[in-house]
Amino acid sequence: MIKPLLRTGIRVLPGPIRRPVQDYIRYVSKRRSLERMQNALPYWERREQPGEKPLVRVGFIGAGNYARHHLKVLNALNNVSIAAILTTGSPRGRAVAEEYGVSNLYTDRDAFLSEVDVDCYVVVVSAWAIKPVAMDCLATGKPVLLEKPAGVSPEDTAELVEQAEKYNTYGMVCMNRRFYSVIEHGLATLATYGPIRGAILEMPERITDERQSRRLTEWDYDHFAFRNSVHGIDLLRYILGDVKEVHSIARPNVAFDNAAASFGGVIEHEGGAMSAVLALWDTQLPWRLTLIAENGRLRYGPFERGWFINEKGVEIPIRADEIDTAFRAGVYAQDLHFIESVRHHKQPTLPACLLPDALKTNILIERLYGGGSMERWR
Amino acid sequence: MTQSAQPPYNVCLIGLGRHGLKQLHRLAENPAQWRLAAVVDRSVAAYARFQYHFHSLRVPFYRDAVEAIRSEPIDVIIISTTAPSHVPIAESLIRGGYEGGLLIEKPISDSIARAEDLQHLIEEAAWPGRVAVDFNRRCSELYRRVKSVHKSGECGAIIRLEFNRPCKLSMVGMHFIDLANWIIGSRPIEVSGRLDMTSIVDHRGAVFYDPPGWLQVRYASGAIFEMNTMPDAPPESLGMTVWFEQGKARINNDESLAVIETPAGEDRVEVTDENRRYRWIESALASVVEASAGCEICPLPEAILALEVVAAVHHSNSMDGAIATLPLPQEVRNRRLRIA
Repeated sequence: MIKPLLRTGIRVLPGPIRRPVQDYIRYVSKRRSLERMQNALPYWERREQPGEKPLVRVGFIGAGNYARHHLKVLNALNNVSIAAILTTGSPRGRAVAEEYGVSNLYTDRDAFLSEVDVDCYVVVVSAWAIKPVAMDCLATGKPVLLEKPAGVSPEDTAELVEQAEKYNTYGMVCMNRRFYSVIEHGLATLATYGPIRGAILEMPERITDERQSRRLTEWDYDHFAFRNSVHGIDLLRYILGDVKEVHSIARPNVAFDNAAASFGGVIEHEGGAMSAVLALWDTQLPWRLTLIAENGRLRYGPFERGWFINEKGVEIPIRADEIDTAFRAGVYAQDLHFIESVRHHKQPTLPACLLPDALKTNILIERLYGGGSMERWR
Repeated sequence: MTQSAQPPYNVCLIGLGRHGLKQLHRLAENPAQWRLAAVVDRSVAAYARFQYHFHSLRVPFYRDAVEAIRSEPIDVIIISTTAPSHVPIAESLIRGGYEGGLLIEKPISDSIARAEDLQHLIEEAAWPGRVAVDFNRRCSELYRRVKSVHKSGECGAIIRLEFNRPCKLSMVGMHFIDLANWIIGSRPIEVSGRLDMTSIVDHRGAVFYDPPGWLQVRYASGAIFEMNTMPDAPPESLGMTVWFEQGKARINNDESLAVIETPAGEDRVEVTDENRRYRWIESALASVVEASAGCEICPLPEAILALEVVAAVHHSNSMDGAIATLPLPQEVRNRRLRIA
């Protein structure tokens, strides 16, 4: 009743007024249609299961900015206690301990590892320190959740793998993009649109701006592919599967501190999918990932924002779980997965990235970026 | 790996496609009988879709079937992937030490030779597990009744069996090839057939080619089986009809009613539950776990025979409908069909 009246009403309007009104109505209608399509896409919430749970005691190592993200999650989980924090002794460490109500503060690693009774360790230290700290934690035989990079070369990561095996435990590496709800919801949508045939990954890094900012150390920048680009490469390998063959070209421009470095590769994955990786450093961010199925595709750029593109070419934004805005994206689901595995005395299963899985990613990085650390090319 | 002697049985589902998810929904309705112990799929997208439906179950996910059986207690495995991977997955499980129940989706493989490789492996390894292929219509009350009428001899021998329904030949069509083989109970000796020019690409992917078609099978007993899965099959002929020497059986296209005319009178068998097809799958699974569960599941050799009939149709089609004699020659047995 209303729509025909509205149409008649609009038609009698003079032209200069009628056209903007019609455009506006079309815009509202299209937006509502898009909202309906968005709400029809797969979506679910990642929360703890209700009920009583056995206590999990965590030995936490680190007090920097990123450590806070993990501490916030661990503090929010039921019956998880941060038994002690190991820091370098800076005032920031004391502030963090106070903020999260942790009275047990250590600066001596050996004392921390031998005196504190815990079920697991969480290692969120500077990138250069992750490997040595994780090695010591794995030697206790307790499970370890460690931030990336799990080594800045395949050799490094292999040592961590061996350490975990030697002490009959496991290390789970924080590849939190695997746990991004927007990624999972997108994949759940794409699964209905035919086999995934391939992907295109763009991984620019603003290396010159980064070096000049001195935000991180020279060591961090010299290992940037393993330290930073690892997230995109790992996500690609996680989604499309293990690698069968790689053809790559690397132009690291070492003499110019990697300014305008270029890396490219074509990968054949074991399931038959194919991907193309392009890392043109000192070009515009963000990272971009396109996943291509036979009848639909996903577009991410940055990884925190995604769109499903259906067979008619309509781009539908993918909703993220609110947990990924309440906490650092992916960290809640990732840390919950680790804690639940510790609680049940079982190794975490996928999407978790255990050390052997992380080793495969680092091998791929070395093949794509042509030799690992920039220092090797000096 | 541990095995429980009684329900709930620990189930591992390999293959999280549409069909696999529907199987899971069915099993999830009966938690007293089934516990989902693990899921396996090469695709994390398929796993994400599984999570959308079942995230609260917290089921462990693996990309590798052998890793799953080494990590979780499993009593029975359903292989619900596409045909080319059925045999490699089954072989890896058997070589990986699995000794429980195995229900493999149909078709058993995309090649007769590969399916026979699996049979040889099981025989040579004297594998103690139980394997069956999911021709679950054998668990339907309707088809079981027709089979028992034939077995009793009250209507005499089967002269002709006909099935008509627009469908893909190796998808729904193969169910009825197996049913024909099973009900007639004699060895197929000659096959002729033609395939449609067009195979609609579906969610399984463009790599698969599985058009509808028409076929005729002659059995050693003299019985004839005809099937028409073309889109233009006459509506009044849809469903299955069996002509006995002294009787007739008709099952409607909906598979909800069988009317069997015997010398003693008319017998009607009706099934009305909407979820009956997935109930048959559950019955097949129960029969893999417990031999006494009462459903005559399809053993590997009979599943290979059904595949051979499909391969014979493709071979006959390549010869413009000329008769293909069974058993097929080795070069045809080695061929890989593009079936899902």
